[in-house]
Amino acid sequence: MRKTFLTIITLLTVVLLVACGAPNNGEKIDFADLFPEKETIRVWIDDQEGEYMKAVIKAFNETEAGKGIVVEHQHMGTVDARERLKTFGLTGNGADIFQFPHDHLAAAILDDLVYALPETVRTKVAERAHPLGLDIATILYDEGTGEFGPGSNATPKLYAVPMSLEAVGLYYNKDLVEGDPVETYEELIAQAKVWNAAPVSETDTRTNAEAKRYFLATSSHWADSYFMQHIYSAFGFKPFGPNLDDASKVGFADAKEALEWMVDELKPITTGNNLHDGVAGGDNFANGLVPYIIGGPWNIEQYRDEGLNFGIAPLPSINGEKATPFAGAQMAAIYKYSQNKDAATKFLEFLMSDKAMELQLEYKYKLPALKNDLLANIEGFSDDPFMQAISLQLQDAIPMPTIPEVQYYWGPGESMIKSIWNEGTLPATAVVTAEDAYEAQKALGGK
Amino acid sequence: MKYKTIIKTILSSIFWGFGQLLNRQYIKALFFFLVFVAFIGIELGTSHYFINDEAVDNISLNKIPGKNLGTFYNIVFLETYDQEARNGNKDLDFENYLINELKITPTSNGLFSKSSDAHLFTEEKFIEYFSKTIDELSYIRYQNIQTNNYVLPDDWDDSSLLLLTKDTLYYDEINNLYYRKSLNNEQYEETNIFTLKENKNYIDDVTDFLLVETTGVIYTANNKYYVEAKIDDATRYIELRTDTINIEQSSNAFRPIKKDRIIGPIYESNNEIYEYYEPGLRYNTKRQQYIQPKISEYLRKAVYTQNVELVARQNPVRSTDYVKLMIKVYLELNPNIKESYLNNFNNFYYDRAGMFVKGVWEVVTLGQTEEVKFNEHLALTDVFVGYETAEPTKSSLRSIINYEGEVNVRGHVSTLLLLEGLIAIILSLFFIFFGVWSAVDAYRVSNQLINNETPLKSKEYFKDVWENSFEYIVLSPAMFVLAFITIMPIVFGFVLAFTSIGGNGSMDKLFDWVGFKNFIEIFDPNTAIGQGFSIAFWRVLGWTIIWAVLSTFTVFFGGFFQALIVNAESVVFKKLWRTILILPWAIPALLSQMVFRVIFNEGGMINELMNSLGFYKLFKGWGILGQSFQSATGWAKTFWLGHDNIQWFTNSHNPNFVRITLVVVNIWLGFPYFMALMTGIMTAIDKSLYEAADIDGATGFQKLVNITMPLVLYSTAPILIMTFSGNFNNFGVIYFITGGGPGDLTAVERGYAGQTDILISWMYRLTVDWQIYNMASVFSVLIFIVVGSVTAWNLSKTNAFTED
Repeated sequence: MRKTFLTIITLLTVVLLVACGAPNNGEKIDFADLFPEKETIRVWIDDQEGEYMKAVIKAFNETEAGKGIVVEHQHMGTVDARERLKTFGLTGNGADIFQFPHDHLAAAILDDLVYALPETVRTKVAERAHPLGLDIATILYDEGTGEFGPGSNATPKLYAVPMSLEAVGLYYNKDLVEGDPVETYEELIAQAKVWNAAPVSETDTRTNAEAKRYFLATSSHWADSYFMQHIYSAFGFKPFGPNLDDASKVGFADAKEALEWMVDELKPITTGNNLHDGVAGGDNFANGLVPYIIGGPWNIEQYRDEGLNFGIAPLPSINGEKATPFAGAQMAAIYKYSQNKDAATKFLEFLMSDKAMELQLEYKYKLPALKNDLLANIEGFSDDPFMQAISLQLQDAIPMPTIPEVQYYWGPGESMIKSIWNEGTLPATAVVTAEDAYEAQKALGGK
Repeated sequence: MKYKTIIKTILSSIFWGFGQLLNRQYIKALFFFLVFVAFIGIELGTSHYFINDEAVDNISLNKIPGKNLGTFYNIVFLETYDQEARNGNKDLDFENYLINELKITPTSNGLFSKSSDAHLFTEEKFIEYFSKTIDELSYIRYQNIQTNNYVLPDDWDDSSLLLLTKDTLYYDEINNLYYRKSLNNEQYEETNIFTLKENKNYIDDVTDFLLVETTGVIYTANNKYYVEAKIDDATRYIELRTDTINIEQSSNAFRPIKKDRIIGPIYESNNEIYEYYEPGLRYNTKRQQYIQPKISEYLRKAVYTQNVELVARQNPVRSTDYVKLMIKVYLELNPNIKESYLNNFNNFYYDRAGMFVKGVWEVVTLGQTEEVKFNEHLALTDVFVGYETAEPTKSSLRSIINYEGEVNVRGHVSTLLLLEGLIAIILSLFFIFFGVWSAVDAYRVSNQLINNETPLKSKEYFKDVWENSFEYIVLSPAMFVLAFITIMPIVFGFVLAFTSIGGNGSMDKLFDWVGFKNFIEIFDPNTAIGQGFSIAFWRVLGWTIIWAVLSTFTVFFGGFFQALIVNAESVVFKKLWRTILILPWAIPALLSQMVFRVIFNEGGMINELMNSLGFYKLFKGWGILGQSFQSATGWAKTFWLGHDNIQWFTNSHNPNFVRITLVVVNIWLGFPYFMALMTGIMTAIDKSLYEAADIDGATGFQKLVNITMPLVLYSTAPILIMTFSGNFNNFGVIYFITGGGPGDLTAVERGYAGQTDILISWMYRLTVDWQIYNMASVFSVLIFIVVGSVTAWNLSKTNAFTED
């Protein structure tokens, strides 16, 4: 019985195999001649539900350029994307387009992940992109020597396309702030002193300070150089010199005055005797307990969910000097070793279009990184007070430094504020230590 | 006859099974031979040893993204040429080449594309001819921009002046002097408008001077040449001459025309203006272009026809493929670059060797070829896509082909190579095992034959092996899998300590073997790594050991005494107590660690409790709370707890306090396990021992010390040591409770190590946050040595194991 069964199976298999091999007499049919190839690109963009990207891809495929291109979206957190691409890219499973926040551009370049976009793309993007967004994504690069930064043969290279812009601003709780929000830090500090010393409520006799409900909060912590740049700017400090591109030194020495001001004026009203991150300010503001916070557009969703009645005001000035924050951006770039750069470029260009920007605003609630006069065309922008406020704040923002060495700035910068804030180190000492630390990190990273 | 044995052994080790063949053991020979064939088969099957020369040459070119244009040359290109020729646009030189060199005879109507030999015009031939014609036109020279005459470098007058056409100058209107920023210092030096001045004066300040920025863009008007300049933000034109300064302004009488093809350095020689021409030279951010030969026009027209006019009928030329052609031509024009590219990207071991040979090469060298970037092919832009301005539509591809951008070819990636290499080597070891076996067997059998003993027949031999080594044979699949899933990753992590991997991008680039350099560096404070890391290493290691010892003993004896208490006869509701006390163990450690982090927060529950219980008042009285660290003095400084609140886990001035808190918290997390364990052991102790002790009149303490403790210790000592190793690597407690802090975790001068970091949490930060993989590996090797040797030594001394 078993034998017969086996024989039948064997016979069947042989017949099948022969049948399969039969019809084609060695003639090769090259379908590529008949149908143009459809290119497939993979994009890693932060979109958990995938609805936003679904809409974008659909819109892209309806355009002339995107007709023959299959776009495959995979959700990837913006910080993860870079980390993953390092290993996925090596084995050919990486994305053609990936997204990252502004402060990762330098690292992504050092990690050999980003493709410098051609000049024509740069021109096209420059026509539409907000100048700040463009600045954040552009680096001077000398093709001959392979060096970044200014030089006689250095040309500006666009490494990514800015998708949305962001900058920190002064968010205030309309229920706790009477009248207009403060315009200067001097006003803010005076009001803060009163607030901090006042009792929490009629039943709770602790002062606001004791209850850790300090007048002004930050949605990060007080040693975050990105958040603190507006204070640095007011005192004239910019990392890497006025053009933000002198990698030879950060110039921490110029931050001394700002640091002194922080210890003497800012620290007492924001954390008192606590550490730089000792006050849960973000929660306080979200729960409607404190009137002011230095926050960013990424917080809006949370505050809305909490049902907060809040507004966004420009950052207060210090000693009459404007406090200009860093502008940040979410950007999308092409993977350096992508095999489909043509198609990827088309998609990237589409991301700058009105349609894609509209979808981004609709689904992700982000400020489109477009020039101010183009913003008017974006549906949903003009009637949105928050978007208007962020856009306004951006007019006073300075672009982030883009030289790869900025990677080595954040660590020493944070250590510097921590040491003056928590350990009582003198600013004069702290700035020297920070500069040394920058040197050391640079040496370590470049080895 | 000893030498016969030796020969057989050697033969068998080279050609497995050969010795057996000579020993006339054919089945055995076949067995070894089959394994040998499999081994060599894998090697050859994964290799490209036997590909033809043409394919070998193409290995490196195939790594440039894009494809060959294939039949484009003999069909589309020649058709376009024929079309042009019919319209009177002939290139006789090209026709000569086709007829005389390639032996392509045109058809009777003079069509090359219809010739039966048209297929001889291949890409290779095209590139050869194309490059040659470009090369002949684009030689280095000094071109007179007025007359178009040229001077070759050999005849060039060295006294001619280089004109600085792109510069920033400051014009002192009062004294009629120009200044420019000095290169060497912060001062400004006196200068001429286009040349440097000798015997110049220096000044410090130029604030009130007029800013004159020359842009380097050349204009012409009335047969004179000018450079564009921005003077006080207005556009002006300065004549290119050094004897007088002539500044013009655009007007009806003066209409300058932009000469955007003049981009090279400008010289003045005998009052004539020359442009220095060298293809590919970058000057003032622009690249000097190769000169268009006639044939380039046909090429561009062919692509234009294909992409624009015939797009519905045939495949257009893809940009990537076209750029690849550009690069090939560029390489052809630069034989040195081509040779080095071909050599680097056609590595015999990497590109052609089979798995095992490649594997050994990979591990030994870790790769040799760096990535390559192609930029210079953009000097062929004019040739391949046409001039930027004034190019006829039908021969301009600028808007059709995406020609711009760097082209990258990835080099060898050391991490991948190391991984692949290790896999290959481990796999080959399995095969080599058979080789050794074959040699040993040949030797033994041969000896037996010489001594006139009867060796086992093949069949009997295998039966014997099956019976005697059954356990090994059965285990071998497991061994095989284990080698790849356990041993390979461990070896990989281990050997990284001896490489230079570290820093941004090190994962996907080349790195090298550095021997013990990393080990030496961390102990040498004079090196870049050593400065921060050697000090940090000893600090972290010291705390790791103290932590491991303290946490183990506290938890062990904590559990022991808890078990004693729960087991004491006078305790009621034993089961209830036991259940409650075991609870901390039942909660996932991660959760309780997070909870501890929260409740020990500065504004957390513990602090509020301490405050309301009045401890704060007490501490404030002692001065260890309520004032800043700087204002505390004497003992208060040593025991300083915090300013407003007790800083349990963030007290950077008094890290020992944080460490003690950590140990205490760890007791809560760890003791239930030991309590449960020891309760079990205690219940198992023979009651008669205690009865006997009672009869002898022993006190409770004596019973504890002489009966309970020795018996419990005896059974739990191995676990004690295991716990020590576990705590040595207790990542969770450190990482989730303090995160390594207090202390600055971003400071390189402290090696990125916090005050409570133990080696494992430090390692984690070094790899994940700072990408210092080699150092992290060094530490893991050191951890292995410490933990491994302590454990091994202790276990071998522990009774519970030695009696096993």
